[in-house]
Amino acid sequence: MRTKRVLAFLGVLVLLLAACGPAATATPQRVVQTPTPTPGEPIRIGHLLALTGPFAGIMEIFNPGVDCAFEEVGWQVAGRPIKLVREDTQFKADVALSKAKKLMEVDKIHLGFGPQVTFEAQAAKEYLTQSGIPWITSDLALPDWAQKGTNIFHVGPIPQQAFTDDVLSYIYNDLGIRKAIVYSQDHPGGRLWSQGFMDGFKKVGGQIVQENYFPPDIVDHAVNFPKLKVGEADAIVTALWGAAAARFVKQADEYGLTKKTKVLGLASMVEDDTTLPAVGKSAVGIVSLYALPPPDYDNPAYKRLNDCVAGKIKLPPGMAIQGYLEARAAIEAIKAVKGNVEDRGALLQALRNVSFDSPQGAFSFQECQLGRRTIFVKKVVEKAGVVQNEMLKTFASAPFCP
Amino acid sequence: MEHWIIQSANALSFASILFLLAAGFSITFGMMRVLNMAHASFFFLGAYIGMETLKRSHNFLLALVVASLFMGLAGLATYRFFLRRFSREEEFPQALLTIGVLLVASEVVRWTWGGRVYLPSGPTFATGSIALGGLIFPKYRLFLIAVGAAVSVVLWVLLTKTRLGALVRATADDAEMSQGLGVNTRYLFMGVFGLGAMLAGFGGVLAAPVLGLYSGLDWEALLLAVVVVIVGGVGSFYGLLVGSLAVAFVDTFTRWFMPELAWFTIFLPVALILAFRPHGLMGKPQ
Repeated sequence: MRTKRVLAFLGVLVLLLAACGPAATATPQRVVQTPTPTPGEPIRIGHLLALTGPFAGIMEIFNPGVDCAFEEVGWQVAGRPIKLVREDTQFKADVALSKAKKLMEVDKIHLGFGPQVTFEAQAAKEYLTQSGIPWITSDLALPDWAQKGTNIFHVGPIPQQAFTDDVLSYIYNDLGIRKAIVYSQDHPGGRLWSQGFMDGFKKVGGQIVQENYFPPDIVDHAVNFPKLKVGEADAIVTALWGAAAARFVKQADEYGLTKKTKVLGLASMVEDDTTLPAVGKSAVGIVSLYALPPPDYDNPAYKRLNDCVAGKIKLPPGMAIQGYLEARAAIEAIKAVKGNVEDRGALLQALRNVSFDSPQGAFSFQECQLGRRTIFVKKVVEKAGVVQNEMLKTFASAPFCP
Repeated sequence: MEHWIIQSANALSFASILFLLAAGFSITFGMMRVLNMAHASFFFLGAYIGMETLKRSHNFLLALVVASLFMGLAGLATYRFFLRRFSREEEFPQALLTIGVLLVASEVVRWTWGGRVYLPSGPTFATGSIALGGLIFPKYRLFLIAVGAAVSVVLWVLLTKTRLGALVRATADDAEMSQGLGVNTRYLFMGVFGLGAMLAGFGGVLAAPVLGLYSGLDWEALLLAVVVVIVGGVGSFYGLLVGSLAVAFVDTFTRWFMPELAWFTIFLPVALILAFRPHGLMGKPQ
């Protein structure tokens, strides 16, 4: 009898653990008021990141980028100190929403960064929008996330910006990828990047041989390899992040997949500060495209950030650039309003007008509040025993606005 | 045909991971009636300690030994200072306490190693792949299969063919009688718990090159351990073996043939077992 009771308990536990994945929660209809300014009061900035869960490795790399941006100004803008409040959204939609509420209603933030996971952002969007507080995100794939006249800004890039005709023609003609297998994590981010690629790729004459979607926390990619129609395609095009990306790269190497076909990683699959340190030589030969430059990128702002980030995590900046851009945009806007962040209208207008030299080139927001980025096509190489990304070509992102 | 061979080998290597992961959990519950949810922490922490040792020593064997010993000691301490306070009938307080330990261990790992993904290498002799005809298979997975098989034989011998195994089984059946016959049941249970934790640490180091190390792996590992025990049957060595193999083969082949079911292939056997054979495939009805 006792064993039965325990088994029933274990059964319930399995269901609970299994149900601990993404879950959306109803969005509260509430407008939060920012209090009246007090002289010398810190500028409070909230930061939502999924610091636990399968994307934790990517998310924590935003922090050195954000910290480096604030260190450049001594954690003080227009005479007011910066107070940064970080919250872990745990890769859960409902937690993202409740942490956003906590930041606004308890911490009374003046400005927010994140969330950076697409389904978390979807769950929190209505609340964030109605709050009126400026929010800056950088790593979402949602095409209608940032919109003209709202309080939401997105550093980007989103798939529609990345897959320009020039980029796809380069993939088709120069990289020789005419037929592709799509291999993606089955969550909104994975689906949006895959769909963005497929739409553009077909336009330039490319052919999709096969589409594969699987749970984000897949343990063993090797099980999927035999069903991939590798002989019929020129490349496997992947939309993978976090532990799944690292496992794929290692297992594709171990099972000889990367010897049989090319791998093209979409978005931040093999960045120098996330996946590469984990997989090392297994990634050599993988081509990727995203808005992040390689470690030997010749740009003064990049070199400054490289020194700062390397001092903190002993790695060159990849995803850290996304965090840097959010923080830097905020700093420039706060400077423009002379620290008066309580004037929310002026702060939003200042954000719309920001323009600065960033580690990946000139940065500004378009009218729809979506950043214009440079798209870097990179290849993983081994140079003097160090595995790193190397630049193949750069492209201007598409002037996409929803 | 070659795909069938590769997928069977994939399933066997996954079964090895499941076996090493669930062995300690099943033994401590089956023999001692201790529902140790912190078992996944021993697996998780063991993997990280193994990774650190490997980074410093470049010696996989040393990493295995250090992580297993550390986790064995952690297991002894957990039992001595926390679980010994509960009687064998208090499974739910035990479960709640050990869930607390799991949460604390999870935070300790996040503090110490952050959320970054690590994929440690295996031993040098098991690096790379073997090519036989058209088949390419990683040497490390073959090594994993061999270790899983060896550990299962050692455990089977220990539990069924040795005096220690007989003492443990007798004490599990009737602790008072064993005590009356002069067996120090307190130390015996503590030793079994330590052995379970040691196995988890050992399994963590071995699984890390395949699963990787990242924030949240402990909860995923707990889920897998519970699934294996439910499918195989609580407290049965053969159940553990059959459970690991059944879950690994069902998961691998379902995902191969019906990838659209990949979200719940692990849970399907659990639901069926709980509905039609609640004592598991090899457990005894009570």
